[in-house]
Amino acid sequence: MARRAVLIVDDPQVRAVLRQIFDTAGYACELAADGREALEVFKARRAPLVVTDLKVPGMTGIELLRPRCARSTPTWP
Amino acid sequence: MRAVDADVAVIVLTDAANVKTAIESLQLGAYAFLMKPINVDELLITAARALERRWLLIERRQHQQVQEGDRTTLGRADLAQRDARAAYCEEEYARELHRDLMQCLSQEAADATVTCEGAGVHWECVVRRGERTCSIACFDYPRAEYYLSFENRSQRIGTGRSTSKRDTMAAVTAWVLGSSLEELYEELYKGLYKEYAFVDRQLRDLVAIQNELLVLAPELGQTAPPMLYRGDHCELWLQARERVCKISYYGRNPDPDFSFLWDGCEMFRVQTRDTELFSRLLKRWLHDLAAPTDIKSQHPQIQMSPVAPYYEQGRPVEGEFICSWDWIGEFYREELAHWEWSKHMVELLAQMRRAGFDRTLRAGQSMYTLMLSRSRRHGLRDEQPFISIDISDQGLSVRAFFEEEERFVYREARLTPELDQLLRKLQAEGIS
Repeated sequence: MARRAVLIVDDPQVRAVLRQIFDTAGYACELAADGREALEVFKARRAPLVVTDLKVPGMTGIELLRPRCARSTPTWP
Repeated sequence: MRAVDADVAVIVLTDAANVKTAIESLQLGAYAFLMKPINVDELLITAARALERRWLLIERRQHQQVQEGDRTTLGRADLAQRDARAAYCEEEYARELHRDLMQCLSQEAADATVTCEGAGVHWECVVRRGERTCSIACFDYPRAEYYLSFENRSQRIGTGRSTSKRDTMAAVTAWVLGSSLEELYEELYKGLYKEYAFVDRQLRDLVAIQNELLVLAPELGQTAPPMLYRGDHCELWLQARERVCKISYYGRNPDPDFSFLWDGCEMFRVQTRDTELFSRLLKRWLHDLAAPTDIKSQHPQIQMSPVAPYYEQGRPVEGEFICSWDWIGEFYREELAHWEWSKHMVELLAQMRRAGFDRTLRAGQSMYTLMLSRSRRHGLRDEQPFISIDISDQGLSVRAFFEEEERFVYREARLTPELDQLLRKLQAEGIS
C-alpha cells in the first residue's frame, strides 16, 4: 500500500512539483499550505512522514517539531 | 505534530540563509534538513531512510515493552491498551478484526487458529483450519479496508476487497467452514447472502463482460479472442495485430476501464458500464481497425490522445516525441510560471523546437531541470544516454551522459552552436 506523507509548503507551484515527485515515488500525499492546515491534516491522517518548509505561514518548521506544538491562540480579556 | 505522533519522521527544507535554524530543527528531532534547490533523488532517499528509521524506533520500543511486561497471554484489557499504542491505523484495524474473529470462530469453528501479525503499516490476520487458509490484509483508505485471499493447500483460489468488517467476517467464516467460493457465488445469485458480493467481484464482472461481448460482437471471437489474466488484479485483453483493448478495474473504481492501445501507446480510455457502447467501440477498434479520428467523429465525447493523429499518419515515434515537448513547454510556462528562469527555459525550448529537435528527442523534467533523451516512452533507465539542462544566472549548466558524464557551462541561455552539436550527438543515439 502507499506510504503516506504530509507536504507543508506555502508556494503552490513548489507544492505541486513536490507532490508530483512523491506521487510518482508511490506516496499518498496530503498537502498543507500553512501551519494551521498542516496540523488539521496531520491530526486527521496521521502520516508517518512530514516534509516541511522551514518557514510556513502561521508556524515555523521548528514549532511543528516541538512536543506541544499547537500554537496557543491568544485569548483576549 | 509530535503531540499527535511522537515518532513522526520530519524532513525540513531550507535555504542557505537559514542553516542555523535548520540545525536547531535536528536537535528537536527532525530526521534531516535538505538545502534548496532540492535534488529529487536525495529527497526520496532521505524520505525512505527517515521512514525506515521511524519503523526501527517503533519496533525497538515495542520489543522493549513486551520484554518489560509480563509474558502471560494478553487479555482483552491488555489488547485494548496495546491498541491505544498502535502506531498506525492498519494495526488497530488488524487487532480489532483479530479479536472479533477469535470471538466469532470460538463458537463456529473452535479448531481454527487466528493470528495477527505485522509491522509498520503492513498488518494482516490469518485464519487457518485444516487445509484452508484465509489471510486478511488491513488497509486504511481512508477508513478500514480488508483485502482477503482465500487459499486451499497453499493455492490461492480467490480474492476480495471489502470495507465491511461484517461481510469480511462472514466470508472468512464460510470459507474455513468448508464452503466453496462457487457456493458463495450461488448463494449470492440467489440473493440470499449479499455479503459475499465482494468475493472475486472483478473476476466475475470481467467474465460477464467477456460473455456479453461475444454475444454483442461475435466477430471479435475470431479477430481478437478475449484473454483473461488473473494475478493480483484481473484484466481482460483483446488483441488484433498492434492494437489492444485492455479491460480492467482501476484502483477502486466500480466501473471497468477500457483502455485502447496502439503499439503499447494509449489512444483513448473509456470508463463505462454501457455494454452497447463498448462493444461498438471494440468492433471499430479491433475488427474494423478504424482510425482514431473516425472514432472521435462518431463519439465526440471521447478524449483522444494528442499522439493519435501521428499514429494515423504513420509517424508514431515522432508523434510521441513532439507531444512530450508540448507537455514540457506547458509545464515550464504554467506550472513553473513563478520560477525566475521560466521564460528563459520556454524560449530555449522554442529555439530547440525550431531547430527540429522536438521530432527526434524526448523532453522531460526533473524538478526544474530539463531532461532530453532518445527514450521512446516516458522515464529513463540507467543505461539510456541523456542530456540535462539547468538555467541560472551562471547561464546554462549542461550535463551529458553518454558513455561517461561530461559537464559544460554555457554563459548564454540560448541554443549555441556548442549546445546544438551536443544535441546532435544525442540525436545520433538509437531509440530505446
